[in-house]
Amino acid sequence: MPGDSLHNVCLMAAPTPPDTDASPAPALVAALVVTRRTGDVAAVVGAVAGQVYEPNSIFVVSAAELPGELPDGVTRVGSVPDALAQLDAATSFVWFVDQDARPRRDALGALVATANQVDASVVGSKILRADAPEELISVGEATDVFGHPYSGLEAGERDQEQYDVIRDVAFVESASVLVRRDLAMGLGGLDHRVPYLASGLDLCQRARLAGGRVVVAPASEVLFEGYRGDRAITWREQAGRIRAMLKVYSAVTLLWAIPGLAIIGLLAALYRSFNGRPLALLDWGRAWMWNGLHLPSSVAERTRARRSRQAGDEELFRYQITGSVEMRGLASQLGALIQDETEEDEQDLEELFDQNPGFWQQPGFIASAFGFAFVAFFTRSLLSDGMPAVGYTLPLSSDPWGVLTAAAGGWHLGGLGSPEPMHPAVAATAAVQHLSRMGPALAATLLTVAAVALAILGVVRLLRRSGIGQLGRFAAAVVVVAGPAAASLGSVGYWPGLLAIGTLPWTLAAVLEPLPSELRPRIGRIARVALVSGWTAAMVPPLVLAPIVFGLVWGLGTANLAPLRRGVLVTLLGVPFLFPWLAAQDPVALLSAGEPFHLGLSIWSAGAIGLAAIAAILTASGAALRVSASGALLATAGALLARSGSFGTGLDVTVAGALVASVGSTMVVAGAFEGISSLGNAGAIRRSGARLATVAGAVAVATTLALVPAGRAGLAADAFGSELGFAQSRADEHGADRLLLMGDASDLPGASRRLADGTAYRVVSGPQATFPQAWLPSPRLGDDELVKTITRLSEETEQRPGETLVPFGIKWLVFATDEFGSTVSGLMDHSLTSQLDLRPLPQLDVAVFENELLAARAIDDMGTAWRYETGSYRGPAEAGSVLVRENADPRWGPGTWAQDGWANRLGSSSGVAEFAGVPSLRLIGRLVGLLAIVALVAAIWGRLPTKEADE
Amino acid sequence: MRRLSILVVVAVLGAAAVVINPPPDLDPVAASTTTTLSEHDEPVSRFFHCPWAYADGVSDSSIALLADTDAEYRVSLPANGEITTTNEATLAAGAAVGIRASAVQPVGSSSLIVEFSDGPAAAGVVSTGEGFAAGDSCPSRLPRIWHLGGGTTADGQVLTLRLFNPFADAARVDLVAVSELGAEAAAGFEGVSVPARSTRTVEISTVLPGRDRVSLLIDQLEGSVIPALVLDGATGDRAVWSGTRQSEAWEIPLVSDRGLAGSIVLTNSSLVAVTYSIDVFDRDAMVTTPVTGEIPGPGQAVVSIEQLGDGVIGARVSGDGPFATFVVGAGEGAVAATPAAPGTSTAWLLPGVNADAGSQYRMWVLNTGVDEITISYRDADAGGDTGSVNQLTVAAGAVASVDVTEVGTSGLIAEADGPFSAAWSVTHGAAVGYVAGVPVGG
Repeated sequence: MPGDSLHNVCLMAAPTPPDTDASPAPALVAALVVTRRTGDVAAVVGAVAGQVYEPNSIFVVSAAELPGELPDGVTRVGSVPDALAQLDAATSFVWFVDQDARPRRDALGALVATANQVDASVVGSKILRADAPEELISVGEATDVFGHPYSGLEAGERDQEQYDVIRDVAFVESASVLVRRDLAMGLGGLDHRVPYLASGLDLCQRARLAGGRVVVAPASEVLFEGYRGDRAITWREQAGRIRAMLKVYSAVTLLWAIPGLAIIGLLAALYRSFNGRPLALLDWGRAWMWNGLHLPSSVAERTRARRSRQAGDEELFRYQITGSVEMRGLASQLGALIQDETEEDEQDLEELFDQNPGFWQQPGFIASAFGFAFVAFFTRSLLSDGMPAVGYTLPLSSDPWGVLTAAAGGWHLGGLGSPEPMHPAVAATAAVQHLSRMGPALAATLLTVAAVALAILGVVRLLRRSGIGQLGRFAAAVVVVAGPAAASLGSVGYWPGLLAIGTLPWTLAAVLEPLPSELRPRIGRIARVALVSGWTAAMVPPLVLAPIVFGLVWGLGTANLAPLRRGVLVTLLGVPFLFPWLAAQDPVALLSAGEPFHLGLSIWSAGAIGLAAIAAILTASGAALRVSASGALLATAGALLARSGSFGTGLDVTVAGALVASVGSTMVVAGAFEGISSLGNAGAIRRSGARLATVAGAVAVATTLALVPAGRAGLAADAFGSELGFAQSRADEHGADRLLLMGDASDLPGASRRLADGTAYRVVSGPQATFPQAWLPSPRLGDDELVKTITRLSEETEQRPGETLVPFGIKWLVFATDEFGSTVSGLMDHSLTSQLDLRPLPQLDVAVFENELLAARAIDDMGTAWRYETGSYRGPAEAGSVLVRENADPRWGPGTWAQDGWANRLGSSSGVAEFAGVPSLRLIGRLVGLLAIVALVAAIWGRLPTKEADE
Repeated sequence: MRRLSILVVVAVLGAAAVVINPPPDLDPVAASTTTTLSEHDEPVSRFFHCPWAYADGVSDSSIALLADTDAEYRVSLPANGEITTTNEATLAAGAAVGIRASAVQPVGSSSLIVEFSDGPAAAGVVSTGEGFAAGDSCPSRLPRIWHLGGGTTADGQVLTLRLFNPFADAARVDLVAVSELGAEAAAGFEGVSVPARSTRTVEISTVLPGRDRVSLLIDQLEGSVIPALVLDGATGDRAVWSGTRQSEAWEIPLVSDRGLAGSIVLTNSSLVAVTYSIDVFDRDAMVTTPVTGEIPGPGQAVVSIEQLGDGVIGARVSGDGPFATFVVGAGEGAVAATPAAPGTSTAWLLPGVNADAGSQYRMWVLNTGVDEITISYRDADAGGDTGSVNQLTVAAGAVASVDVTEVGTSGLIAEADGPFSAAWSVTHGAAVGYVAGVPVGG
């Protein structure tokens, strides 16, 4: 209801419209036509001169010469103060008219009458589009505390005199503003440094603080030429709003408002960067930089404003709406993505909040607000405390470029190294980290939070495409991130699974969405699908096949081959992002690699989902039946796969099964909620069955709440984030060497290997286990030797374990647990309590033994340890050789190379030891990187507003 | 019908998912039942801990290193929390070397670590001089509970316990002392801490004076120590012997030398009494009448040599539970003690034999098997195998001794075509020392 929204800007009594004919003695008015660019002003001057209520003097404010001659009686002045200085003392009002304004003939009269009638100091006109005079632009406006305008009008809203009430407003646009002369003199008029909207805002705010009343006079109509929907978010307008804030707010208000505006502006810019405004971040920066440069003049203006200040900030707050208009706009945009049936995601952001009154009352906005709150609460510990370190949830590297280089045919960073390519999840996360320029901790946290938010949005979108109504899709959405499958996966800390779940629903939704017919949106869509499909596949490679499976299942349900065809396309788009990792994989080993994940099934959640599935399949119809049946098939098949470790399936396959089960469970719950509304006039028994399905679905949703209080997005608590902190503080001058971790596999970071007795162990590059090290390459010579060494260590007779670990560059021996594994027990009971060269470190949560000998990963002939730097080593450039304790490979260099046992011996004259790379994998890696960049550019390009949209 | 078909498929898939168990290696209980690698063959010992050596102006112990294979050795001195390597060199197969204690630590008692890069190898300490002769084999294995039997604090004899902790972590032990009075309630024997890389001494004769027979049981609560008793006799002789583990069968090839009176001391660390049986042997065959008795738990049993019969020079002790056995001897100007051998072997290393010139050395062997065996023994010097091999035939169930004094050597290697046990004695004047051999064969 447009009228309702205007209550937000109209808080004072509204007098009756003035009768211009009955006005008392006419007041003298000076008209100032304010120019902001060179151009003809004849039209506006003519409109001003042609007013029924004739101004006694007309000035054109322009610093530059004007084209053409001005009519008689019209004077050009260089600035507003110059004009004000020339005013006749009898002049009562100053009428500021913008260059692009075309006042109707009675506009000034209405303004003067209103000013007199309500004793207003500033009166603005109703603004209409010059090219469509029936469309409203502004009838006075509200703002938020950050000065962002809010018109309260719907896009394209027609003027039906529905707002024709004189009202107090936060500000009026500077197209046509009547100001009391004395006030204008005191304030100095419009600020010529700020653009159109901001100048009106600035003038009105200063006037209000000076005790003036700001009202809109709808009877005064002004047409405006050159209107653009995005005018409020240009960098100049952003800069103008900042300057306006600096001028009027008290120091206390500025203390929180300025940082708040900076953060909100940054978030909005980030969002806009991916939604049709690629330069939004640049604009944000320019706005702040401009204010930095103009700070002295802002301070001077602030000082001037304070001289005439009669009221506090509270007077401004009275006319402002609470919260941030920009943030509401973003929330509304996100809500629109999941709410409307049309291609609303292609809408421009500003249309939603500039021209859409009451957006916060829409279901989409409400749902997104709840969704935002859920995500915030579900991830609050991550946001406040950072990511836990557990399982595969490990800190990102501080050198993302080095990781990317290693991933593209470089040296595997896990264990004792290998030329084998790293898991694609390593490259994908490093790419995001590198492009975003974020620190490792912030990047990991934001990736996780984004994954949770995207998962919920994606599921809602998927369900919307499936025909599920609002209740079903909103209620079921949380199951995808907090349902039994996600909970089980999170309990083992499999972070790539959580990251994959963020994009998997979008990938599957693409299977249900026909491509746009127009070329540009079509390319954009394909690029976006490639990115989400590629990301999903990179995190959990077997999921690259999920679109085909989903398309097949959905196609069977709808007797339509199109989803399957699209599924194949989506899969093919994702496959390239598995390279170069995929190029080095044995297809059979691909299925069995890694210690399998085993999906745990809670009786409550799994039982509720099962009951919901049965009841929905038996009773629902239409979309509810299709969704619940497809979901049940996916959930059970996924669960079967996720529990198939005992049949030899490996980590990625079982995780993929769990994620498919998670999406399937969500579909079941959505179908269960939708079932009752799909029945129409069905009988009582079916309706009872549908109600049972709804109740079971509600129970399934309720069980997800158990994960919320921890606030870790379902991830397990930190297991070794702090436990390995000693390595940083106790590192030698050349850096932290390696750590040998032993214990139960679930207590070790990332992947691990097992000794014959089942004891798990792994090597970690100090000072901490990072995500790029999470996966271990296939065992090589050094790894075989390490097994023998650990076995010897467990024997009672070995009393110099430190000496035996030196050849592996192992400085610390860490027992993550002593509850599992005979080798660990043997070591703890015998060897390590009776050994000569491993110093136990006291007062740590885990048993840690430090090698007293120099255990450098690379050491030259002079005994100097070389520093490790993400897959390479640096040391003094001296003649001789350096022993690099990485698995032997002749591509280590530069200079001479020789195999030394299982390690490498290189010439040390260059002072560098690095892996030259595998050329073919390097090439593939670069091509994939290029493909990702092209897809990213195409995705943005595909969303850029077209000229038609601008119009 | 279509709904039912879907339900059937879903039910089958769901049921299959529910009934599948996790892989066995994900189940800690199942996985922990697998065999440990360390339970396989007995590994070769490379580290030997010598809790006592001594040097002063009068005497200077000889640290004897003996290897039956080419090996590098390293002698280290852990003291005051630090560990320093004092000697490093290579030994050829069959070679032995004697290092003076004064070269490791010029004055006073010291405790040492001897490491070999390979085995079989062994280390021992011999200390002889005017009026004293003592020797000890350096233990290699580290049991959780050490037994140290056969001490005495009677007649002004000074008994000192040395707790040697060469390791990187501090140790904490409980001491249980038993004497003819039973379990002794001595203050300060619980939770005795021994800092890393140090040796702690406890004057037993001060805490428990006047005991005829004192045995110690050392329970290691944290870390590890290697204990030894040093007995300074009233007449100037000295005996040194390290602790030993417990076993259900022991052999004593050396019961008495030079006519020393003495006894066999049996110690039991468990709460349950152990019934023992001693088979005694002479030079010809086993004496048919065994001696039986009970070791109280925890406690000790002392069997005098006279109680076993005249002419007895060898014994085998078996029990119905684990216990430890020591043999002690005492005479005019002589005290001696050593642990018994916890089993038989086809090869024995006797490091320290002939390490101190001017003393007499004798090897004792016991064949408790049913076949006659031929023992080949050869002296070892710093140059390796001397090529001089002597042979000794020992009848089934018989004990034998042979003088093995050979100047310039530092050890003896004895091998046989059947299992046997071996020990040796050193005499210097009236002083006598008993020393256990080190089994290295199968």
